[in-house]
Amino acid sequence: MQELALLLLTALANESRHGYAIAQEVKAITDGRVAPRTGALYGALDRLLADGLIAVEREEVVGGRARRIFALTADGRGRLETEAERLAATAQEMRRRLAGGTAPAT
Amino acid sequence: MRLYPARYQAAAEILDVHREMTMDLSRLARLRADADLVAHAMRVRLGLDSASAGGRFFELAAPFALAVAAACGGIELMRWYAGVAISPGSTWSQLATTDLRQGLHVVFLLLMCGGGIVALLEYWRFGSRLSVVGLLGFAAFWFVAPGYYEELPLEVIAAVLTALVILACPPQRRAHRKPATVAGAMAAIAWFPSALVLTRGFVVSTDYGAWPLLTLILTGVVCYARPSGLRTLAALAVASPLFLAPALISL
Repeated sequence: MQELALLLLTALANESRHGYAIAQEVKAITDGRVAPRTGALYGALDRLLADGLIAVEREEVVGGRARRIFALTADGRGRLETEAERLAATAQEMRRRLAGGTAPAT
Repeated sequence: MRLYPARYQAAAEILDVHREMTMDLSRLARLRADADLVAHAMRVRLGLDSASAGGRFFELAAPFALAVAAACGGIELMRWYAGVAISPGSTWSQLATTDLRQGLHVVFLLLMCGGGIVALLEYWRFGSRLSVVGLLGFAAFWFVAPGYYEELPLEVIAAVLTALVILACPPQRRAHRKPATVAGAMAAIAWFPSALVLTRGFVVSTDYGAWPLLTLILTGVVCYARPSGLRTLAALAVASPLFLAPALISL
């Protein structure tokens, strides 16, 4: 999965958010390393919507402006959990080897 | 907002978010953000964004287009190199007397070949940009020196079509590892015997562009065996005009 898509799912894992809030959350999660531009952000959101990993939870009007609030779907949550497990396994192996452990037999 | 098609209902929301996101940016950063938004709008309008069927199709086709560009660039480079190395004069004197036109031609071939390899190995965005510059340069060079091409400029048209296939791939959609590996293997298999023939080290003829075509067919068989076989096969066909052009010219 692309890094941006993974970060968008992460930003939505604990709370439903609108587009701008998602972009700010991604910046916060990555300490400013990833600051998605609008086109890239909505391109990735559209793709996640089409893949059924996120859904529009509701629409609200703030200051006369309509905006969609996005939320993780069950599929999106499952996918994020799988990715988290994969990353955690890799991180664990990195730490083990850095601590001087030997490579497991293949 | 007018750039977005009427069917795309999120245009107003995107514009609001864009205003908020670019409020504190410098002039240059805002220009880049605007360009990104325009590119997204154009992709949505053309049905080439990463969520649409068109975008997903070209996502499949782009690795093959890069591989074809790399193989064709590589074969042409070997043809040039063989001319230099096999000719009676010393290689250095041949290189020293290379004129500007020939030098430019070689640069475009290097970009096609090197860009394709770089993109498929690791740096997708950088490599694909190099490859597109090489392909379009190769095509534009026809206006400068038509003598370098066959009478019917099928290769020129094929190079432009190949560049369009690469450009149509949605940004940030780096090729998945498996298609990139298959495409890379196809490029290597297409290039290697041609290189050996040109350097007089191979006994089988590759006239009439037959060998790259055989490679294409072989890759097609491999792709067809995959779960999304027909779609991949169609993507391969769209990506292969540079392989087909020499065969068509030879007919």
